[in-house]
Amino acid sequence: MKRRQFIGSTLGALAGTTLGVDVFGISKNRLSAYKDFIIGHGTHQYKIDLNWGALNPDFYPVNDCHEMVQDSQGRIILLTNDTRNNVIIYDKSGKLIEVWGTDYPGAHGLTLSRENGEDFLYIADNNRHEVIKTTIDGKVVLNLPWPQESGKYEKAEQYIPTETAIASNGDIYIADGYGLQYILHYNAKGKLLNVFGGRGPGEEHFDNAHGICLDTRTPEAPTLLITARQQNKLKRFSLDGRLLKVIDLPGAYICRPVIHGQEVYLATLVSRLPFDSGSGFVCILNQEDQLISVPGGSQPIYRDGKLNRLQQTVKVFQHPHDVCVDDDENLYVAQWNSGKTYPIKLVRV
Amino acid sequence: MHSLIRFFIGWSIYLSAMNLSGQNLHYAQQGTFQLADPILTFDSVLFQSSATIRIGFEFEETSLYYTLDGKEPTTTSLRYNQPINVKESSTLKVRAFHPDCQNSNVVSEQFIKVVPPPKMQSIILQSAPNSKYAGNGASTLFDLEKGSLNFQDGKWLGFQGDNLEIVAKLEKTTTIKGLTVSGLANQSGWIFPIHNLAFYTSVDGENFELIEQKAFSEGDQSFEAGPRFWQIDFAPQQTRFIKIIAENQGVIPDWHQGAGTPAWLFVDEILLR
Repeated sequence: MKRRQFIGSTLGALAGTTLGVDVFGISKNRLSAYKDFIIGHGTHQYKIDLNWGALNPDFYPVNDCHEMVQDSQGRIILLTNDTRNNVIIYDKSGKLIEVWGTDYPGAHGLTLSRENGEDFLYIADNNRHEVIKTTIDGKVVLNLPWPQESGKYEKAEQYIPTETAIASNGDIYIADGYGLQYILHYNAKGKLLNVFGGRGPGEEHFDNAHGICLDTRTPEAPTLLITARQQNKLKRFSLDGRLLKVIDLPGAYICRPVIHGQEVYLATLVSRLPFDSGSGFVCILNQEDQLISVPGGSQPIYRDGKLNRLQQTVKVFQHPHDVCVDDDENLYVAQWNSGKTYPIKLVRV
Repeated sequence: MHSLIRFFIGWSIYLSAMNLSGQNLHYAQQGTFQLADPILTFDSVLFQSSATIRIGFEFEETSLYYTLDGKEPTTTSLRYNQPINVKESSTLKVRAFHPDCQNSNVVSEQFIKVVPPPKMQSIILQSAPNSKYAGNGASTLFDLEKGSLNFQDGKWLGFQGDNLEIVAKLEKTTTIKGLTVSGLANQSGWIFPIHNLAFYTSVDGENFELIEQKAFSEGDQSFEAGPRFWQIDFAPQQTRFIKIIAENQGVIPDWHQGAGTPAWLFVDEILLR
């Protein structure tokens, strides 16, 4: 069946080439036998650009592609833990603009914050056990070392920050997703204001508090969204650290929440263990916290308000670690442990 | 033949990517990607009357085909529409098909019908399992609970270098005609398959007579990770005393990165027939 289909396609292609004309009435570079493969559901469906951002790895190498953001100039910024170029900056077409950064061996979390008209980056470094704030071209402006003053930590090694979120007043929230699972709340100058989360049995605790973001979709009442990756849960907290809601995403080992428009986008590392099972996809939630599309994964189905367990359905991704949504609503998927491949772009249809 | 088809599919994809004109197509095309493995859901691979297996795959236009006779599933095999009910020991093989994707890998699971073990007056483990993988002692082997692939789930007994050797005294004389040892092989975890399986009986509980043994050579070369069942059958034996020796691979062979060190042996269940 499969084989016959391919034979048909090939013959069609040959015919088109031989005639040298657009016999199928479609654009010149496409033949009717070939169709773009589309992933996702409902309002959020995408074509797949596997070649986006591919560079010569001898000169612009990546290791894990951990996170990506778009800056106010529209550029796409990738953070990787290859210290030959920790930060790779592209235009939206995938053309290289510049690279910088050789001091971030554990480059993991990347957050962009616009402060008084200027873009700043917050890098959470697993190996350095600290968060570093830089200008958009890489000058360090603030270090947030391990939170000794919290009284929760005995040494730097216990603190392995994975992500940051910046509030409109400049307050900084850091998720210690690979360390002791606390969420640390600082003011803009780096003074520790509050600590919450940590390990424990209740829902207000975390197992792998991997990602965090500010949810300002209701501007008068901003909240925090924090992933508990190992628990397959997205948790909503007040800015002062009170648990408000738990969103279950069974089977989805979600990395970090990213808000664009009215939706939350979540790169999902895997849908079953072990962590290198290559079974990841992307989740998209609407404003009511309902899963509406799963590019690369199973259709979201709710029964009696409970979501069916999610799984990868087609092997487009291995281990998605972050999603960046650009101003055209297209997605860039950065992947961990995927054979040092560059990000995959999803173009919305 | 199989490799020819594979070559042809690979070649077709290459052609589609090149669009025969040397220009790269911008977006990934239908036929580029493989379906993920279907996921089987069931209570246990060991069952007493029947096992119910569900297969999840929420992807429009996907069809799932399966076999219970050991053959590779094709689109002429049984089609999955509702949960599968297995009443006899069998191996389920499932594969997903979709018009726009390459077929999934074949996912396989062996289901085994079991009878409750005879009541035992005593069970003695001749060498203790490693303290990290000690389960609930010897009774772990007769609780009809299969361990998961996570070998730290407390349902496994793990032996480093040592054999699994048990001596059991049954409450009353019982007829036994065969046994299956359920275990795990995991090359990257240095867990090797059983090297040899032997069954003994005794009249007095002191002097044991070998009834049957069988060698397994899988551990001599590279092997796939996963659960294993090792089985021996023999003429029905009426006995109160039994001894079972599942022989460890011993020293890890030369081809393995752990060459020269003691191999692990992992067993979660012994099924008597």
